[in-house]
Amino acid sequence: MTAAAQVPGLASAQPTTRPKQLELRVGITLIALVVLASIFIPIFNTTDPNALVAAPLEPPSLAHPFGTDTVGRDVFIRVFTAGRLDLTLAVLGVIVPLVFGTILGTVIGASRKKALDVVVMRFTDGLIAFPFIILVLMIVLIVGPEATIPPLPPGAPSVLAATWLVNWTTYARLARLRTHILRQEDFISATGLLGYSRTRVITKHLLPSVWPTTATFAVSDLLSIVALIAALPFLGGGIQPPTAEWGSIMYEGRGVISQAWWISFSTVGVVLLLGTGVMMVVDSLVSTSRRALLP
Amino acid sequence: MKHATDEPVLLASDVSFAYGSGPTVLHNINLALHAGGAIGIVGESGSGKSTLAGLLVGMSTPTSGSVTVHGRPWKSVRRRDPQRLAVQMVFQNPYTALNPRLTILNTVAEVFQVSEKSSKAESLERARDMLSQVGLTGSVLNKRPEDLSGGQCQRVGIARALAAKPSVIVADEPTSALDVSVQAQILNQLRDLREEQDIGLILISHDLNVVSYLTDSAIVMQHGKVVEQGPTAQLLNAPAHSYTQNLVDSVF
Repeated sequence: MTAAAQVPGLASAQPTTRPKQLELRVGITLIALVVLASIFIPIFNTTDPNALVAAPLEPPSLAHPFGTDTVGRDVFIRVFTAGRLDLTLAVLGVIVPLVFGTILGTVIGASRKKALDVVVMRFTDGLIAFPFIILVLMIVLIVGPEATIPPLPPGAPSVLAATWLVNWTTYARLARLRTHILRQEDFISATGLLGYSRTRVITKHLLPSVWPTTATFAVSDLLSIVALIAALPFLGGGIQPPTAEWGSIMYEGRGVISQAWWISFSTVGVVLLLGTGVMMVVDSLVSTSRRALLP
Repeated sequence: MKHATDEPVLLASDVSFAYGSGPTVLHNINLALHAGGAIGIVGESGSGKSTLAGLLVGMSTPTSGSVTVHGRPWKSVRRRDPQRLAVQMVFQNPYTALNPRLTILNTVAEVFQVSEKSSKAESLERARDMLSQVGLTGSVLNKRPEDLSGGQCQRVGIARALAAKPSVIVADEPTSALDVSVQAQILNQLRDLREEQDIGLILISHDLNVVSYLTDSAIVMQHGKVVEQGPTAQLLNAPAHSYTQNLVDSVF
C-alpha cells in the first residue's frame, strides 16, 4: 500500500491529478510557443526590428503578419525580438531574488536568534509596505533610466536593479514562513536529536523542502516582472527606445489604437499567451505537486 | 533481557512544564529509567504524554525540575556532544518523521556520516546492514517515504534511532498511525530491541495492552499529573485509581 493510500488527504488528492497534468502540459506548451518564437523568429527573419520596412500603420498582411507601427517598422519582428529581451530580463529578475531571498529566509527561519529575525523581517516589512511601483521608479531614477551594461540595452540595468532590490523580500518572507512550519515537523525535530549541525539541517533538510514553495512562486513572479517591465515605459522608465520591448510597443500603440489596433493587440496577445501558460503551470504545480507541498 | 542497574540512564525529577506563559500542562513528574529497563506512559489524549516525551528526549526544557541523561542535565548537553545521541525517539506519525526528499538508505546513512564521521560509502554499507536488521532490504532502500507503507516507514524510524547507538528509545505512540496488521510487527521489533540490545525503552501509548506487552512498569497520566504508577501487571490487574480502572475497562 502506498503512502498516498494511507494518509488522509493524500488519497483524496489523487482524482485531481490527471486534469492538472493536462493543465501543466497545456501551460508548458503555451510558454514554449512564446519562448521558441522569441528565440527562432528573429533568427529566421533577419529583418532589423528598427528598420523602416513599409509605410506607417499598415494593417496585418502576409508580408507583415502583425502590421507596421507608427514609423513603418515590422511589428511582428519587433514583438518577438522584444520577447527575447523581456523573457531574459524576467528570468534574470527572478533568479537573483529567488536564490537570495530563499536562503536568507530559511536561515532566518531556522535561527533561534530572535533579534536577527526581528531586524531582517522589519526591514522586509518596510520594503513590502512601501508602494512597489514608487519604490521601483525611485530605484530606476537612482540607477539612471538610460544606464547600460553591455550587452543589455539602455534601461535594462535599472529594471534589473529594481527587481533585485525589491523582490527578494517576498521570497525571504515565504521561505521564513515555510521554515517555521517545517521546524514543527518531526523529521526536523529528529535532526536535533541526532546531533546534526545547524548548517547541515539548513542545507540538507530545510532548503530542499523550502525551494519547491519559493520556486513555484517564482514561476508566477516571472509574469509579474514581464508586466512590470511592460508597465515602466508608461511611467517614464524602463527600456529606452528604440529598443523593441513589449511595454514600449504597447505604449507606442496606445496613441494610435483607434487607427492601428494591431500594434497593441498583437503584443497583448503574445503576453496573454505567456501569462495564461504561466498561470496554468503555477496552478497545476500548487494543486498537484505533492513534493512541492509536502514538507 | 538485562537487569536494571542502580544508576538511572534517564531521570526526570520534579518536572513541570508550561508552553510559554500558558497554564502548566505537566505537574511534578518523576521518572527513572535504568539501563535496559522499560517504562510505559499511559493516558488519554491531552494528558501530557507527548509533552513529557519531548522533555525526556531533550527537545524542550522543563519550566521547573530537570531531566538528566547519564547524570547530565539536558540543558548542558550541546547539539554535537556524543551524549546528545543517548536518547532517540520513534515518532507517532511515521510519514512526517522522515525527510520526504531523502531515500530511506540515505536517511539512515546520514546518521553514520554525522555521528561517526564515516565516509559516504561506509555509511551506506552500514545503513544497509541497519535497515536489514529491521527487515528492509533490496530495492525498497532506494525509495522515498511516500512510496512506502506506514509500517515500513516506522521501521526506518527505528533503524535511524538505532544508528545513533542510543541508551534509550522513547517511542511516542509508535503504532497508533498504523494498520492493525502491522502494529504487532512494530511492537515485536521494539521488544526484540529490548531483549537483544541493551536499550532502555519508554513507551507512550493510550493502549494498556500495548504497554503491558512491552514494559515492566508504567505511569498513568491524567491532566498532566501522574495519578498512579507501578508494575504494569499490577496496574492492569489491580488498578488503585479510578482513572486507571477506566482505562483498563476501556481495553478489556
